[in-house]
Parts: sequence; structure tokens; C-alpha cells
Amino acid sequence: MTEKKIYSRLVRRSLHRSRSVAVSVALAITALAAAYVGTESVLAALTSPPLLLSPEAALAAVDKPGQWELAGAAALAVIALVLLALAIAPGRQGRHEVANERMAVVVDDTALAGAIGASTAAAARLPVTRVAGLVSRTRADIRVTPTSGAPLDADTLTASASALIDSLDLHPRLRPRVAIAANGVIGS
Amino acid sequence: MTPGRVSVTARALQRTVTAIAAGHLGVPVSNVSVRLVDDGGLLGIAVTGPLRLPPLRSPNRGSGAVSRVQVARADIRSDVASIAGSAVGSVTVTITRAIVIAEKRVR
Repeated sequence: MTEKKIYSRLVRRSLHRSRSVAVSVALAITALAAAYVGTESVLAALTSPPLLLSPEAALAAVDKPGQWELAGAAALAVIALVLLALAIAPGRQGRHEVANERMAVVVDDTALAGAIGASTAAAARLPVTRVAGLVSRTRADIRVTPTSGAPLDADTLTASASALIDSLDLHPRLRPRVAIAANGVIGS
Repeated sequence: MTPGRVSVTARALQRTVTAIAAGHLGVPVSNVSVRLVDDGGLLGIAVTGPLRLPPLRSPNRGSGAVSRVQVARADIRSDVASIAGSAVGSVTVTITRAIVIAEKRVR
């Protein structure tokens, strides 16, 4: 594997949650269940008393399920749905890749939100406490509370946030959106 | 754009507006109270205080009390805008009493 491929693989692994825990747990439970069924079958073949339930009784329960059997089936269905969701969902970690020639760089979304918020605060000439940033996969939402009597221009601030985001060359791309609160705060 | 920023605290702003309002009402600063509010992103000003007026039967009475307050209101607005550099929203002036100017006899 070339270095580039290793890096892109590393970055992908950092951007997405690993499924290994879910896989290990599911496999361990399946193995235990298979071992139990095997044990019961062997005991039935040797005509020994069953541990809990003989295979004949189990088959009868499947043919004519009582309410306990139905409840167990429902629980298994829920577990199946959870496992399906874990398998299909992308499992994103809330991070972005910063394009870099020599390194694999991944930044947490909260760190990005802080950086974009700080640069917007500097552009608006406001204290950092008056700017809140929230970064999702494709959007950076920035909420600014202006000082009463000092109106702010959302387009200018969006442009400055855009410049910072472009300079970072993030992947997936971020689109900034600056929202200026309707009501300001007295003093700055 | 040079880095850094200018910050004016709410208290400094309030004292400044109080001084401006007292000047335009013609009364001491200690008699005037000013409350600053946010007016949809603009600086809203609520002034409460007395108004300085000439005696009722004075020959040089000038304009009426209400028009004096209107003039004071407009002057407060333009002065706050130029001195504090804020975009001013509504300016509310509540006059609680009159301070009558003592006229001296011309000797």
C-alpha cells in the first residue's frame, strides 16, 4: 500500500466509528446460543434430562407460542433492528479532514466551531463569549449577539468565516451560515 | 484591519448618556436617571428627570415645555450617536418635575 492510501484509510477510520465492538458482542452471543443448542441436542441424543428445555419442547413452543415466547421473539426483533442500524448507519464521529500533503489531519467539529467562532468574533470586534458556533457535517452555524447600537452585517461575517474555512480546505466541505440575533446586549 | 477591539462597558455608556441627557434638560446629573435597553439591535434610551423651565410669568418664556422636551430628545439622540458612536433607537423622556430658573433683577 502506498503512503497516500494508508493516510486515506487512517482518515476514514478516524471519521467513522468502528463496528468491531458491536460485531464482537453479537458474535459472542451467537456462539453462546449455538453452544447451548448443541449441548441440549447432545443431552437429548443421550436421553439425559435437559438443562432447561429439550429440543422437542423447544420445537413445540415454536409451533404454539405462548406469551413468554412471543415476548422473547419481540425482544430479539428489537435487538436485530439495533444491530441492523449499527451495521447500515455511517457512524460518523463529528470530525473533519484537513487536507495536508504530508500528514493525515483530522479535526474535531467542536474545535472547528471554536476556531470559526473566535475568528468571527474578531471580525465582528466582539468578545468571544458573544459568538456561538456549531459545526455539523456540511454546515457551520454561527450565532452572533451584537452590541446594542452597533449593527453587524451578516454577509461580511459570513465572508470572513468562509475565508477561514477555505484556508483550512476541509473535507467534507463546510458551508458557513452566520445568524445575527435580533436583540443585542448593552455595552460590549 | 488592526487586531484588537474597543470595548465600552454598559456602566460607562450609561453614565455618558446620563451626562448628555442632563445637559440637554438643563438640570444636574444627579437628578437624572437613565436606563439603557436593547431596541431591536439599536440602543434604546429611557430618561427620567426634571426639566429646567423659566418662571411662568417671565417675559422671556421661550418655547413651551413639550416642545423643549422634543428638542431635548432630538439633541440627546444626535449627541449619543456622535459621542458614544451608537445607533440610537427609541428615546423616551419622562419629565417628573420642573426646576424653575431663578431670574435675577437687572440692576
